[in-house]
Amino acid sequence: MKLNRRTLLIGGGSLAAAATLAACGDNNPIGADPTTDGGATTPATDPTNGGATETADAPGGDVTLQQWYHEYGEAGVKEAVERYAAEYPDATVEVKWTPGDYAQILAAQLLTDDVPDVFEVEQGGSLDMIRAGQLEPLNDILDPVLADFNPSVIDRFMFEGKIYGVPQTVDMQLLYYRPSLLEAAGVEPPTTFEELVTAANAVKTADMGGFYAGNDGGVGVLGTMFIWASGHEQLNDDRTAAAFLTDDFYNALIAYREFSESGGVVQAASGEWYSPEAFINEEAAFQWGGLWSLPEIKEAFGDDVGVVPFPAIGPKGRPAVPFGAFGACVAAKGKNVEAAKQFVKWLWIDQEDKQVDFSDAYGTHVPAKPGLVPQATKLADGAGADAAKYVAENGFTNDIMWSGALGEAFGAAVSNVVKNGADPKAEFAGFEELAATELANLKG
Amino acid sequence: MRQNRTLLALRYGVLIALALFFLLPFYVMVRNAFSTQRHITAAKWHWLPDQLNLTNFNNLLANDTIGIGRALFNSAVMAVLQTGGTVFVSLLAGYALARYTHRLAKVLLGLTIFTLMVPATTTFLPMFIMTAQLGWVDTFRGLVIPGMFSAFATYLFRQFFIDFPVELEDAALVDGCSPWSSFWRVVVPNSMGIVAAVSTIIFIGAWNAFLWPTLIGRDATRTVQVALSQFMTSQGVRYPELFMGSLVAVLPMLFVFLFLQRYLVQGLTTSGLK
Repeated sequence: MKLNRRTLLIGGGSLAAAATLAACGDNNPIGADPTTDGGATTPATDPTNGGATETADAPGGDVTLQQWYHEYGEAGVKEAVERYAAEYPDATVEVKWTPGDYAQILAAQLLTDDVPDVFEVEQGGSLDMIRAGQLEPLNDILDPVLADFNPSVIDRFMFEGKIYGVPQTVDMQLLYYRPSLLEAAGVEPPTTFEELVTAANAVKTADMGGFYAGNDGGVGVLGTMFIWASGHEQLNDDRTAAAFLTDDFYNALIAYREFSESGGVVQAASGEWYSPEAFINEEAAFQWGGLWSLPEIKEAFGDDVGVVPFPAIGPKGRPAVPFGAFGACVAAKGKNVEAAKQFVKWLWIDQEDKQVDFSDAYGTHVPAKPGLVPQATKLADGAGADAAKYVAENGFTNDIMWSGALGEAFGAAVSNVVKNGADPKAEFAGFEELAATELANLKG
Repeated sequence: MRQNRTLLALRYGVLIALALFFLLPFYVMVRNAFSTQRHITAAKWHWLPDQLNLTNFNNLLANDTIGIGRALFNSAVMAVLQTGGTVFVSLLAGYALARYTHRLAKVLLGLTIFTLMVPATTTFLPMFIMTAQLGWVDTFRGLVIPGMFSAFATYLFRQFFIDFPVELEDAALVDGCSPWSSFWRVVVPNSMGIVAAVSTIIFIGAWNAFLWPTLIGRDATRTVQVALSQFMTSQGVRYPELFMGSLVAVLPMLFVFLFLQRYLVQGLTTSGLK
């Protein structure tokens, strides 16, 4: 090839482009040394600097920990967790705020060599993470204080005698209603499904529907409620089979289908079940929603807000509320496992003022330790106090071995029964075998 | 004559109705960008916005957590570099696959086409792990380089070069050009149409990319599409800022489409997508 001005220009341009890419690359907060790199994670030492890491004067000595959070929707949470981290005296803690699909990003990152030291995981860790050895057992820091935490949450976090996450705070779903509307219609807050049907039909008007639980008619979010509220568990005690395939469960599905077909269930509204718009806009008198919506709902209706669990359905039924809790976990192959455990202990076990602040100051959540609930101002009375009581007394959550495959098959069957009028017994005929096979596979 | 006019009017009527139908989502985006949260989520549908001012735009700019300015810059850098890199690599690969016809070339062509049939989602995880091992997470290298090798673009170029007159290259060779210089001096200058078409498609794809930037682009290299997703959390969606951000993010694409739509159409026709 002849070397002339044009080839030189092309070659020079290519080199310049390569150099640009290389220069652009020196901002990797994951792979680079956090003590020297100008990475993008927010430093614990200066939570106000908007992203430039300054760790040289960190109070935490030589150890630098990286802590991951998913993106909380409530304003102020990011600043709060950065503040907590900045106060930790024994290490420098870099807070990494992760918008987008946190679960997917975390799962991918844990497969690499550059893992975060501390990270939050729903329900304190998934089966896949535990089986892959990605989570460090935290029994040594948690066992002495296990009784301080909500037993339902601890029960869910525990797997084969080990616990891999410290509960941070508890979220839950529940049924919102307006006491004034019920009073005007002469009905009481429902405790059974029959009462819910009666109340929803009594309060609905031409402009306002009865009950709302999402734009899919409620089959998505309420699916597992039919298991718990009809008096069943998802799996048997030794997790080898589905434990709810009874006539009571099938009748619960039929009852909800009839409720839908009667016009008592709002099928479409301006917001999804997890946002309060439909309730605030008075599109439905009852809405299944999240505790996190309570501040907005109270802002709209003041004290005219009540909450109840999903009512008991069928002869062996019981009220039920599903809860979820993020747990602070430690990466088993992190570079500073012991330091990470000590930080988790400091923040989520010892620092109770921060735990109350985290649960109470940004949105509404239930502290993971029942002993701290009285300190949460939003749970002191009214709907907040009721919600805290329900999660303690009627709280349920998906079993750790209720896998994605089981959830998909279950959801499809529930939808077919409620929306398409399928016979529940026939629809769930194959589920028992599927569950047994899936659970056997999961057990290895 | 009257029948022809009626038919013509009917055709125009149908086309206008269809055009309005397809433009409706864009109108809703504009409406929401200039509305309040309450207005957007109201039980009763409103056709007109209720906040025809720059409040949502100012809120978008003022949100440091989102960092829309930086995100737009990151998207622009990523889209430009990925477009340039992909076109460069695919141009060479497509030309080689068009000109070399021996057995190995056919095998390579088959493998190239085969990669088109593998869903991108299945290769994401191994690609991410390799990228992370290279220390490229949250870097433009990580955003751009793994996406530079496009079988789709290579195949488009290959199809174009098959029909490119070899006589022009032969003439250049007779005049003393090497194959390399004949490629750059004769073939490429006469292929700017397909280069522009492929560039347009790649640029739009890179600008709108979400999954890969979600994994790789963190605080320093978060692209606009990922940045906007921060308005959607499990506790709800901030519709006014989200739609205002979407409106801002779509503007560069609008300019690309307005100025390069001829090439875009040509690219789609060549690819058989149309």
